[in-house]
Amino acid sequence: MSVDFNALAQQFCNFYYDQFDKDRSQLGNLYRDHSMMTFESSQIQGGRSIVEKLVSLPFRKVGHRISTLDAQPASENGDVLVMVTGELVVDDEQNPQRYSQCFHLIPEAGSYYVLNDVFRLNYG
Amino acid sequence: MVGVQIQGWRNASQQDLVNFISRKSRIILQNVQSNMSSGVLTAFVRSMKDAEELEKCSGIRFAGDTLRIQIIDPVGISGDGRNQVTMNTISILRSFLRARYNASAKMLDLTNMVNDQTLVQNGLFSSSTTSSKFFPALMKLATQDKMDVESINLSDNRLDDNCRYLTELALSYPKLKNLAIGNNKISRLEFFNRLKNKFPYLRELIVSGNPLVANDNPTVLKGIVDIFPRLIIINGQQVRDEAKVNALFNFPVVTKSMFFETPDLSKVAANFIAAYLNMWDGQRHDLLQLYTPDSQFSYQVDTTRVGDAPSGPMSSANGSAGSSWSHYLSHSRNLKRVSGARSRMIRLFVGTDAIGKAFQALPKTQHSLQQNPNLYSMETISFPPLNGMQITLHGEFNETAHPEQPFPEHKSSNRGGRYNNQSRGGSRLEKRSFDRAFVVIPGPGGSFIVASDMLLVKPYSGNLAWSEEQRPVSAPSAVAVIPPVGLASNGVAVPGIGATSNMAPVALAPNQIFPPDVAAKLSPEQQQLVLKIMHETRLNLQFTIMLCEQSNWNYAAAGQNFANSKSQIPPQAYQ
Repeated sequence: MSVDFNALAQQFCNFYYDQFDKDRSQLGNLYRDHSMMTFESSQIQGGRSIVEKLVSLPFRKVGHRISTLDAQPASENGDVLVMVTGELVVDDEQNPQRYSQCFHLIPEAGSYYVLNDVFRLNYG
Repeated sequence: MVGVQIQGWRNASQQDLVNFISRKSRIILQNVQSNMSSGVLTAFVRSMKDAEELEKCSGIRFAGDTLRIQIIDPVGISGDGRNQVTMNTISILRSFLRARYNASAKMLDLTNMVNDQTLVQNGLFSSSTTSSKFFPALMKLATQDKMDVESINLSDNRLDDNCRYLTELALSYPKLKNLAIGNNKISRLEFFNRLKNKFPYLRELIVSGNPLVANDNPTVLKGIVDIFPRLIIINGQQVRDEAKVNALFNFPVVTKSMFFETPDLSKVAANFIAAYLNMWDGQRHDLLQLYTPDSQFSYQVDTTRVGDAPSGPMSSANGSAGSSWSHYLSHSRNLKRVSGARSRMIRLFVGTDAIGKAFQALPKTQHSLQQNPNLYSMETISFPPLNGMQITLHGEFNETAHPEQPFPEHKSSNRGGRYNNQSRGGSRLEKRSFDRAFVVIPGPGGSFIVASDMLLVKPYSGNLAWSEEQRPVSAPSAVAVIPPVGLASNGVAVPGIGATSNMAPVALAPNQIFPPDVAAKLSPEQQQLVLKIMHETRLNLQFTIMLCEQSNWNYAAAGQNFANSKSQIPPQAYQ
């Protein structure tokens, strides 16, 4: 495998959460029309709808802190599965919330996009 | 282009009719040909949509007569439009279908169509264009006419490896139970590979008389059987135990709180997970039959925690101090902590041997999915690159015993050594929460293959995040519309809409809120709903009523709509 999927997964997550925290309306180009996001129990398809959903979330400031991260190559084509847990600090809340998120990344033209994105909050 | 036929127009000229249609329906008739003696006018319209729109105008009055309009060419079968649309291909196909359909047996007998006199005489197989359109048209009509079909016989039709009939068939009848395609020209397994996931309910298949199975090669037959998860009988021979198949696809757990992409996938996934966890607890080693030399497994531990567990021994907020993770840490593949290519590599288990060892090195467990499904949450999505599905599962387990065979101390795995220094006796068995992601693909004999498997173990955190009690809204798709509102400082979830419908009663009485004229228009139930939503969204009365009206006074829909349009709601809409 020519691409180091571990490094890729880390780079991707850093970029993704950084962008999310700075301006989540700009995340659209990481998704495609057939991308799926499962957000808690609802499901959204397509980059535009996904970004609309993310933008509509009722907080202004948000910060992600990655706690753990693991990755596996998911097919011979270079797909990568990424599993992340972390903390979400919303607005000026004292207590962060924990979340887990699973990305399925697909290589495309020297870069990657998100095919599946499964997000789940975990209280506690 | 789709052909239409119009009668009952002869009191006026052809051009008058074309103008009239164009005015009435904004549909342009093209290639108009009329036969004055029969009174039949044929023409083409741009699309099926136009044709259907036009057909709805049938019965309209025109020049003292009544127009009768029908579509004569449902899929543009008669080609480029220069041909005179002679006969109603549609009625030929319809009568053919009717003759071949046995309603009581739910059986469509399409054997030897290529030699059917009527079909051949009408040129349905005269060119490759028409014959390629023939079968889709036939299927379309069968479904249009709501023919209930469980069995189809397509034997003796010269079907070859390139034939797309079965793909069309699957579109119309995905739940087909019995299929015969004997005495055709199918010679490659490829033909069946294209049908993966297409006939999930197929029970019996007849393929005899095709070059592919001429030698009764067991590998070939098995290859075919593998494509169809519920196939019991092939060429009259039983290949699976029907009771077992039914048991496997029949899941005892209520799946209400779970989200699934499609009902079919959901059943398969729920089944799979139930069986999997059962074996994980009972005979973990036997699970290895689901893994192949290419399968991958890795696990990681998230020892950080926020706040206090809802219950349980760990009250310290500073990481793993109150908990013991020694069974997991040596091979935890958290890329945030494990750097170095080699360290990372030895923590990714590839192939059954390595995965088996990793399984034995994890504590024995007890999950309670069957007894308490609400402690678990699951999402399933299809995984097109591998023709499979991705399942993510969240829940909890109790550790019941120390690992059968812990990893030996590994000097070169720098972190492993350190953590393994904790003696076995020092590690407590605890209740943990976990996330797990599987990529599952169809395996031989209707079984499954786990292609990817990622486990994350973390401190016990309960099921608050998805429990039904917290989220009593019934429709799963409407649940959790505004989830990340944050934990309040007391650790209780701040209710977003959709998160609580059995919350504390709203303090204000209706008459303090509703002006008399508004109150008069709303039923008591509607007033209650308005109050609740006002309280939860902080929208003002006017906007709340608007939201309720647009949501048909449905609480869940209101929550969804509110979440969806939140970014466009003006500030003055709030209280």
